[in-house]
Amino acid sequence: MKVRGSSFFISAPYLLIVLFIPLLFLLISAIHLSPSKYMYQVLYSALLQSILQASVSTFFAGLLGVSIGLLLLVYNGKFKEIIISFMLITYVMPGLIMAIGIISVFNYDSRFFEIVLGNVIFNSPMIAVLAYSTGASTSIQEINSAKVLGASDSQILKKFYLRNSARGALLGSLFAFILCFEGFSLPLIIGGPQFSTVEVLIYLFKRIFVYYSSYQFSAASFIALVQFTTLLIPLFLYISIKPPPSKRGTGQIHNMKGAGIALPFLVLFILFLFIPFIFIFIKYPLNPASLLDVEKRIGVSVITLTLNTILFSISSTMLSFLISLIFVSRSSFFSRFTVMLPMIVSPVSLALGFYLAYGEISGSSLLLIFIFTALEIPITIRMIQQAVDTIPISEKMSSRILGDSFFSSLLKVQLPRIRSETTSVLSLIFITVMGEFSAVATVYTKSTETITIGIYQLLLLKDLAGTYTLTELFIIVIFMSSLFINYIGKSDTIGKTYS
Amino acid sequence: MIRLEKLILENVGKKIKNAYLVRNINLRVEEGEIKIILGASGSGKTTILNIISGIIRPDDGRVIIDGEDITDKKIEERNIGFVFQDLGLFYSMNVAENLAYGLRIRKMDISEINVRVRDIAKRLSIEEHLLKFPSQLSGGERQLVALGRTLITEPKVILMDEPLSSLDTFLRNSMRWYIKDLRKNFDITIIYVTHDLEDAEILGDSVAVLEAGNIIQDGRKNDVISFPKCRKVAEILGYNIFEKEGKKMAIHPSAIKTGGDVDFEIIYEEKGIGYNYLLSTRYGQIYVKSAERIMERDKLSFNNAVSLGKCE
Repeated sequence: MKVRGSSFFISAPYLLIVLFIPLLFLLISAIHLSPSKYMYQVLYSALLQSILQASVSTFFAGLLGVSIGLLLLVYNGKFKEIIISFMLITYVMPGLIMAIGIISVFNYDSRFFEIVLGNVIFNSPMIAVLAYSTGASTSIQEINSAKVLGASDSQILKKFYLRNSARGALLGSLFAFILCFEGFSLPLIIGGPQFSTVEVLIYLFKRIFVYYSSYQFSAASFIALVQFTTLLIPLFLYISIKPPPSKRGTGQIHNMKGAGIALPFLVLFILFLFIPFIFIFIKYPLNPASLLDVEKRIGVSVITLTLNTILFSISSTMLSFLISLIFVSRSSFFSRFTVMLPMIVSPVSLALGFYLAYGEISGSSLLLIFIFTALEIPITIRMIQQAVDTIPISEKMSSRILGDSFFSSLLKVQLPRIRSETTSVLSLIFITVMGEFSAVATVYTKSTETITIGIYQLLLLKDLAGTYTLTELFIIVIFMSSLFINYIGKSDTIGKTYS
Repeated sequence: MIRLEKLILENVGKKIKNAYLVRNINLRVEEGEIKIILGASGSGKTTILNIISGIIRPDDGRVIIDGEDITDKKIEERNIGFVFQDLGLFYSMNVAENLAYGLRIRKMDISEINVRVRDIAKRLSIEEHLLKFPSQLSGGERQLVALGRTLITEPKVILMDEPLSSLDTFLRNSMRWYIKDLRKNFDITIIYVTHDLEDAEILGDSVAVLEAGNIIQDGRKNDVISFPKCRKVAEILGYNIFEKEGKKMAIHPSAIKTGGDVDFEIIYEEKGIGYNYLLSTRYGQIYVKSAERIMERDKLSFNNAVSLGKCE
C-alpha cells in the first residue's frame, strides 16, 4: 500500500500540540525544582507502590482474565452475548465509583489488597474479552481438520484456542499493568498516603502541596516526567503489539463437551464483578431527596454538574471523533504509530502538561475539552481503524478508482458500512469521558466541576447520603448506556449483511 | 486495421523489501482490445492491475495511457475502471446508488445521473434491481452491477481481476459472452487477468503469459495459445511436454490424432463428454483428449507438436 507523504503533515502538528509542547512545559517547570531528601523518599515510596500494585493486580487480573476468556470459548450457549455485555459494563465504570463500591464492601479499614481487588475487577473483564476474541478468531476449518485428525477437545483448547488467545491476553495484561501503574481513584480514595501511586502524587503536588517548591507545580512536573520515563518501556511494548483483528475468523466456535459447566463459573464471575456496585445500593438505597441541598454543601447544583459533564463529554467526543477520522483516512504505519504516542503520558500528567502549556490561553472549559479529546484520540483511532479494516480492500479502493478522494471515500463508503461500530465507539468515548476523574481532578475550577468531582467533594465532606445517591444515579446511567452500546454494536443493517 | 496503443507499461517493476513481485514488465494494449494476462496464482497478475490503477506505485518503469505518463497520478484522477475479484460493491448502498457513485463524484447534474443510471441498468438488464442492496442480488446480478458501475463513468481502460472466478460454470460461460458483447457495444479497452485458459480463449484478442512476475510470452491470442514458445508457457496452457531427437516439444492434449507412427499403451481411460486418456509412449506419459475412442492398435500422430525455445 502506498505510504501517504501527507500523513506527516497531520501527524507532526498533532504530536507537537498533544505531546511535545506539554512535555516541554513539564520539563521547563521540572528543572526549577530543588528537590529535598523528603521529596525523594515520597517519590520512591510512590514508585514502589505503583510497581507493586500494578504487578500484583496484573498477575491476578491476567490469571482470572485468561481463565474466563477460555470459559467463554468453551461456553457456546445463548447467554454468551449477555455475559460479555455485563463484563464490559465494569470496564466503562469510572474508577471513582469502583473506589466507592470497594469502600461499601470493606469500609475504610481497607488498604493494599482492596486496591488490588478493585484493579482486578476493573481489568480482568478486559483481558478476558480480549483473550476470548482473539481465541474466537481461530479458523473453524483448522479446528475441524484437527478434529478429523483425532484431536480431543482439550487438545484443541490447548493447541489452537489458547495459543491464539495468548496475544489478546498479553495485550490486555500489558494495558492492565499500565492502567494499574497509573492508578488514581482507588489509591487516592481507599489507599491513603501510604498507598499513594505516582499518579496520585502528581495530583497531590499539583492541587494540595502547590507551594512545596518556590516555582509552582515544579514538583508535580518533575514527578510526572519520572513517571513518563518509567512507563516508556511497557507503553512502547503495548503500542508495538498489533491489535488483534476483530473479524478475522468465521466467528464460529467449535462446540466442546462439557460446555454447560462453564456457565455457572461465568455467572459467578459476573457476580464477583458486580459485588462493589451491588453493595453501594444495599448500603445506601437510592434517595434522590438527599441531592436537594447538594448546592449548599459543595457550592454547585447537581444540574450544573450534569450540564458540565454532558457539555465536556459531547464536545470532546465529537472533536476526538473528527480528528480520528482524519487520521484513519490518512492511514499509514507512521501516522498510526505517532497517533498512539500520547498514550505514553498518563491522564494526570497530560492534564498537568496541558494546564501549563495552554491553561493561560484557553480558559478552564476549553482546556478540559482539549484534555479529554487528547486522552480519547488514540483509543478512538484504534477502534475506528479496527472497524474500517474489516471492510474489503476492493470496496475501499472501488470508490477511489471511481474518482473519490481519501476523506470523501471514508465518509461516503466506509463509515456507512461500519455505522453500528461507529455508534458504539462514539457512545463508548462519551461514557468514558463522562466518568473521567483523574484528569479533571487535576485541573478543574469552580466553573468546570463535573459529576465525578461532585461525588468526590461530597465524599471528602463525609456526606455519604449525597455521595451514594449521586453515585447510584451515575451507575444507572452508565449501566443503561452500556447496554445501549452493546445493543447497537450487535445490530446489523441490510447494507452490512452480505455473503 | 491500424490500432492505436491505449496503454503501455514500460519496464515496470515492483518489489517488497528486496524481492520483486513483478519486474521488467513491458506490455502494450491496443485501443478496443481485450488483453488477457494469463498466469498461475501468485504470478503477479493482480500486482500489475494495482500498478495500472494506481493502488500501488511501481518502483521502476512507467505507466502510459493515451500517450500520457500516469505513473505518479493519483488513483482518483486516472479514470480507469476496475472490476475486482470480489467486485468491491458498496454494501451500504443500493444498486442505483452504486451505479451513480462515480457520476456523483464527478458532480454531474442529478437529472443526467438519473438518465445514465437508467440507461446502463437497461442495457445490462438490471432495471428491476435498482432499489435492491447488493446483499439481495444473485452472483450474476452483482457482476452486472459491478460492470455497470464501472462502465457508467466511461473509463479509458477497464481492468478485470478474475471477476468470474466465483461463479458457477453456466454463469461463467454466459458472462464471458456478455463481456465480449460489452466490448463490442461500448468500444472499450479491457485488461483481464485470469488463470483460466477458457477465459483467454473466448475473451482475448491478445494474451500475455505471466510467470513469477515476468511476462514470458505476449502476442495475438492464436499465436500464444497455439505456439507456446517455451516450456513454462506450454505448462500454463496445459500442453504435454516431451523430448524428441534432443529437442523439447509440446503438444496440446486435443491436438493429438491417430494415424501416426507412435505406439502407445493405455494407462487410464475415462469417458466424460469426450474421451480422456493417460497413455504411455516412447516420449513418456501423454494426456490425450479425444472426441472418439482410441484403441491401442491405433498409432498416434505428433505432427501438431511445436518445438519449444527458452523462456526470456
